[in-house]
Amino acid sequence: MVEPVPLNWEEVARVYGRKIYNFAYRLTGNPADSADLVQEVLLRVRKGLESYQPGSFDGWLWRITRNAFLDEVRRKKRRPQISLPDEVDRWDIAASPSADIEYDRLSIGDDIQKALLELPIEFREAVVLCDVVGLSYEEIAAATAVPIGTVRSRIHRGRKQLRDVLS
Amino acid sequence: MRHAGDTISAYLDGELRPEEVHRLLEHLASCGRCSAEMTALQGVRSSVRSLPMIELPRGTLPEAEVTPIPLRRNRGFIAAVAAAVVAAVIGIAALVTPPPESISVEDLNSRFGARLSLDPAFGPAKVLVPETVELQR
Amino acid sequence: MRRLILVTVAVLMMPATAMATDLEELLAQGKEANYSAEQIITCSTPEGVKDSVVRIRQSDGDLHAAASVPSDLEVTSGSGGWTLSQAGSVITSTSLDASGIEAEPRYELDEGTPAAFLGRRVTLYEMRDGDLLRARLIFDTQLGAVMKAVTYSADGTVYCERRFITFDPTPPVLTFVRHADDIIDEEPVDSDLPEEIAGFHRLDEYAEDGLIFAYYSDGFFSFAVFETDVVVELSDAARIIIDDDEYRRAFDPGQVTFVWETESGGMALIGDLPPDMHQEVLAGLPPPGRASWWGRIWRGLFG
Repeated sequence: MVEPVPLNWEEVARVYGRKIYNFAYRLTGNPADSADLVQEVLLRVRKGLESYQPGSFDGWLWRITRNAFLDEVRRKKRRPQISLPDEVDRWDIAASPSADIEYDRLSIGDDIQKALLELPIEFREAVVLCDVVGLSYEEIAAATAVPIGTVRSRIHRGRKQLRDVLS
Repeated sequence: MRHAGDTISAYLDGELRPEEVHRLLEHLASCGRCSAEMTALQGVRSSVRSLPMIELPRGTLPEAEVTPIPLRRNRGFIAAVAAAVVAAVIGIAALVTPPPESISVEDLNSRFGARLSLDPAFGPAKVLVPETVELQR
Repeated sequence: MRRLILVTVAVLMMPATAMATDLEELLAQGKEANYSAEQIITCSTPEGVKDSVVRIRQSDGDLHAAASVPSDLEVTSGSGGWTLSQAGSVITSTSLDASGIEAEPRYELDEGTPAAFLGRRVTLYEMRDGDLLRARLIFDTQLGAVMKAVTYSADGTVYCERRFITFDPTPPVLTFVRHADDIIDEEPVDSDLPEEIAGFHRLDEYAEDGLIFAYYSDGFFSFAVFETDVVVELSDAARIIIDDDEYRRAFDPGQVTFVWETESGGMALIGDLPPDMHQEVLAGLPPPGRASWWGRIWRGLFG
């Protein structure tokens, strides 16, 4: 069954941008990196739309999102950031009062966000994809290329660890 | 006695078949430990699900930067400006480089090795140091 | 509202059976190990015994390996980067990304047997493809490093044995090596390289100027296939006939390289698969000398 595919990347950006941002933010706690991820994913989606084979658009998009996220993690690992004296630290921009970020809403759920960041990345990702993004186990399995049993196990162990941290 | 394990989470997420739900609920009726875990994880799950959806910061989507142009202006010019802004922000630049004149097996091995370093089996079972190297480059 | 997911393949829902160990999880643990070691590699190849001793240091997912002879040749790899240098100067370097697709599992481990090796507690596993024993692997129980790996040909003879002869679990301090600046992105390529060959699945494809390559894995062994528009130079290579086709082949300890020409350019295969798999894999690839539609793809991509 062929589902309707968004015809252009502007539509994708509008519909999915916020979800991608929240996926990255809950995984990293870093607003600047999360915004970068949104742009990188949209770029890749735009490039890939022409050769996209109709199937599961959600699955395709979340695979791209996850790969872009992993690529960024690997890039940072390979090439340590070298700050030049006149290079503006992006954290400064994100933290400045003039930045249009919803500080009020960010302060809610700080405990949970901190607890999430203590989870091993596989567990954290599984929990975020399930409870923040709202994907089903089958969709998470497709996005992360692991069996559904592994998805279920990671979500369960992630939640148990959250319970331990939060208590 | 075998405990419920991760079927608890699967149940909370609606991922169990009806017969599995039945079996789980039967187990919970007589297992205090699993019942307590169910309650605890239900709370954890709710907490994560209640995290607010954060709005995209301004400037993440480049089109948000392009302000609406009054209808009086020339549409062709507007489209070009908008496209230029989008392209500049995204930074799409196609550089065409001429193909290399030759490929050495060392360069091929380098690519294989780089991809190998991302293989789950990467490690002592897959390490290789080439014995001979083409010294004429 | 969460919808119920009907699991169409029940085996996906079941965790690995209690008697088997998860190969990928074991290997993933090994990536995090920090240690220094010397490893001897001995392989029985159709061109005789190939062996070498390698000094390995692994830390934080990066692996530095230096040859004993010549002693100034060093490989640094990890996280998608690979650099070969001699006496400190770089000979070749690559950086690339992968899609993260994992190979469909072909091999299963048994439940493992505790043992001792080099004064360490280890677990010995047998890795099988159905009934066929393909490897015996010894994992360090504490660190997860592969202390010894013996791989077998289909007829039961040993292909390669890699084993540590010295082992130091002190985390080494590795000097940072910067890999190639340009990162080759994984992307779908409209090429004639098949998705599946002889039980190996294509996990990634890469396209550069003048070169296309694809990476295949069966969950343990892996190889890369290259398609170029020029001839690949391979020194000290024997000419070998396989299924009436002529290839040039060279064995390094633990790795084989095949090079051949099609009408549109050169091809190469590099991998660590045992010799009994070579014929079937090559049979799944464009053969030497015959017209391949590679030329059309090439012109379509690069003009």
